[in-house]
Amino acid sequence: MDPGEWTKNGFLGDDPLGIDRIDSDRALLSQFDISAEELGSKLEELWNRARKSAGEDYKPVPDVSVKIDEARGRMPCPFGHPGLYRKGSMTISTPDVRLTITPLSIHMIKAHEFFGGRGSPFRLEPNQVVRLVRPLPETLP
Amino acid sequence: MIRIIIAASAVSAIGGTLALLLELAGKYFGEYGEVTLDINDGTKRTDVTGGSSLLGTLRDTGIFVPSACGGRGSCGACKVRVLEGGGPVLPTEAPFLNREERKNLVRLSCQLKVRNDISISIPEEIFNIKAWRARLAGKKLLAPDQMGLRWELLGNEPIHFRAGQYIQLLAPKYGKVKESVFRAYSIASCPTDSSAVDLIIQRVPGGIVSTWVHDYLEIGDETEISGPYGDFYVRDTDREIIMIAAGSGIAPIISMLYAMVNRQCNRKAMFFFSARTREELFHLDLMKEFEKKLPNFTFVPTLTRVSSEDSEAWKGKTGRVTALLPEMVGERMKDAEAYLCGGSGLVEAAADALISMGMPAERIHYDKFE
Repeated sequence: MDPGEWTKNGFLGDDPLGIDRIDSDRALLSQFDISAEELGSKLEELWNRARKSAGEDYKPVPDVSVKIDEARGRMPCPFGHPGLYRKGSMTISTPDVRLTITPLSIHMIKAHEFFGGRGSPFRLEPNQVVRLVRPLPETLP
Repeated sequence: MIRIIIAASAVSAIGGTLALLLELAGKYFGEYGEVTLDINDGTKRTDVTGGSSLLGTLRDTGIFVPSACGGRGSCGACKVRVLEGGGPVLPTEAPFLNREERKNLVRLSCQLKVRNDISISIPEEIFNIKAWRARLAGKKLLAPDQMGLRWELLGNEPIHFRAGQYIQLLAPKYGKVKESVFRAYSIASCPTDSSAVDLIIQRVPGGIVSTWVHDYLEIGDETEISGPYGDFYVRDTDREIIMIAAGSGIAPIISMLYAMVNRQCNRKAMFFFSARTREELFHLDLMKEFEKKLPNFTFVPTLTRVSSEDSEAWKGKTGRVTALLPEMVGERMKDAEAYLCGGSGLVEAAADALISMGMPAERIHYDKFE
């Protein structure tokens, strides 16, 4: 999780809570009546659907634009979960917010309830992710 | 008080003794002495010092097995068949080996330690892979996230590669990055240019190597390059060539076109280069040069998102590559062959389109970023 191991800046940032951020984020998410697993699954579906746009921006709904950039190579899960996760990023833009999410981040949200440490460039604020995902249709076009 | 001092001293002495014993034990038990490494049933047979990883041991004997992560067990690229002397599959190897591979004695060479005589089998082409120190001779931003690099190879050993192959580039420790790492990049230079390699490196948000390249690397810096690797190259046929790429996927295509110029190749060829916006297109002048030198080559750049600023100035194609293929290739697709390079989404979509137009899957060659 430290800088230079998986990515240049690491996943924990300078968060004083460290990995305990998971408990804090879980408490935050409970206010929205959605689990990290559900959020992660929707992001995963969005990634898989947007990939098929072959470089073109994907618009699941009129105000949301999704861009996929892929890079060579795969990365393992820092939590030791089996499997390798694609490198690359998914940038989701709406009139209010723009988030860049990696496939590894999606996995860590879905499987480990980990949104990144405060101060890490990969940190995703749970409430922002919920606001992005909630308006999406149950089945993506 | 004296008792406290005596007790503290005793604890310190015991601790120091234990530490010394551990050190000696490590030196004694960690030393495996000389062992014999047999490669490809006696093709190469050498005595090596045991204790290191198989990947590192092979490297020390001048054999460079591909590894995108520099032996850290995170890429799964360094597989070799270990016929004897490998011991049981380790938990760190397990995620990377499927049932078929285990049956075929495939192992992850970066995880397996050489502790005794060992016999392995590797593809013949790995014997051609070499390593060089290289010095950065050129650095140019080609598009907002695309950096062109020229690395001069130091020493007298030339590099021999097929257009379409890739090398491994070593990024050293820098900033907060505490370990050097390897990454694979396609060669963008002409195969006859054997004293240097050109690369095109896309910035990956938070990426260790691409950040080093874009933000830290300076002319004159040196590093290590190994290669060539890969089996993405133009087959020797008379078929029409369809090339499709996006972003840094253009790199092997450029090398292929240089090779075609050198061979004065008359094969009909079309290269579809996809970008979202005008500013993401690059090497347009180079493509014009190739069109002049290859009479049957056509370059087709296409934008998938034309901004209002671009709409007046851009006179080229718009839309997805897959939508252009029926119009621009049509029935000829059944007899052509294809070379695709880029993100896996683009490559998979393009391959599906080609197959739906009648191109057999075995004539579709790709280097997809995954």
